[in-house]
Amino acid sequence: MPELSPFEARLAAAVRGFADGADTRVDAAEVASKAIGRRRFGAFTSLGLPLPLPSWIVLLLGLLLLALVGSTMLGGSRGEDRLAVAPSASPATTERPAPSPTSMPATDGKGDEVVSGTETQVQLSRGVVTATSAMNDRRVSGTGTFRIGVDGYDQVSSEWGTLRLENTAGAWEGSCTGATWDDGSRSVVACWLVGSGGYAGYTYYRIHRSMTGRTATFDVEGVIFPGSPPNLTDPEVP
Amino acid sequence: MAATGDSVAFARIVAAYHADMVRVAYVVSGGSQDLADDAVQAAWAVAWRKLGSLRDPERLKPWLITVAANEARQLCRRQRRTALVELHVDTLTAEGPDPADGATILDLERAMLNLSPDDRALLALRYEAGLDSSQIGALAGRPASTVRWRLSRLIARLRKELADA
Repeated sequence: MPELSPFEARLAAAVRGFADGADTRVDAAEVASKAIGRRRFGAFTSLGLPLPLPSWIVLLLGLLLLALVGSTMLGGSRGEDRLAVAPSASPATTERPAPSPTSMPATDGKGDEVVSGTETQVQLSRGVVTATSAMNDRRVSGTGTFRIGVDGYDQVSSEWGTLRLENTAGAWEGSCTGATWDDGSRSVVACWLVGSGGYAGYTYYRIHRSMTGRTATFDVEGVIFPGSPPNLTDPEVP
Repeated sequence: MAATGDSVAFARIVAAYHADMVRVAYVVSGGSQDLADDAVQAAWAVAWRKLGSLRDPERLKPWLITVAANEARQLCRRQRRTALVELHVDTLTAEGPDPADGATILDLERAMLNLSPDDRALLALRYEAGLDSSQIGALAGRPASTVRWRLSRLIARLRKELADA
């Protein structure tokens, strides 16, 4: 820790002194068991049902088998669909899965398009965020570099800066504004980007947002169109 | 090993880091042992689920401590009304603080109780866990400059409150 001012040194001592009041004794095996148990037993534990996991698995498999047999006996041809049971999501997974770029069909990469995908932050250093965009349009997939400033208030922050997104065929560059809240875990940022290289003459307007509390992966949606970003200083704007 | 689901290895990690996590959660909770215990237990459940996604073992301790701080913040938010009442009583019974430059550690501890859980989390991560702004920012997904700005604003506010009182 770098050298602290006298006031900050006393503050640090106060924080540590306050923490000394905590009872830190622990039965590690019990804490670990509870933590693991939450995952294994999930809802059953919250229902106060102390059955061990194997019994529940046997019971659930039995019910599943019964349901499948019943469905088949009733002659439902749709039962065949149900037989193709995909592995269920782990009960530990509580986050909403990010929309994959494959959740929207890939575009032909030409002309105007509606695009979507995800962006994953890979590095954050001195206010510069490097991220990778995986979109359903190859023109806007690639590596992005955000240079962002933040004006923080008690509950929220406004963000502003620039984004350059590039790949082998060209680049997009422009300005972004947005807001974050909930300690930065939720945010919406919109960017107007102008194409260059292979994308010259095109504009990419995009919004990235995190509404799920995830901080390193964002949902991205946007549009690509031939033309320039709107000019709000145009005297003909109504 | 714990990352791949070895419960014995996981218990060893609990033994190694539980105390550090409780101390931070205790600060965030404003001195509630029950809340700190609940927060850290919840943090261990998160750790068990997500340990496999942690690529750098050296980041384990700061990551665990940050998870505990976040769980404590969330529990505090749910219990905010109760906490405010309790803090109000503390404030009424507190002795008048000295000006900032002469503020004692006891004065500062009292002032901390009037902060939000978010602010206490920042202080705990910085001064109890010893994380710097870059580490806090990286774990919280925010720029280090934002963390520094919040911290400096918080320190200035505490100085002012202690000086004005």
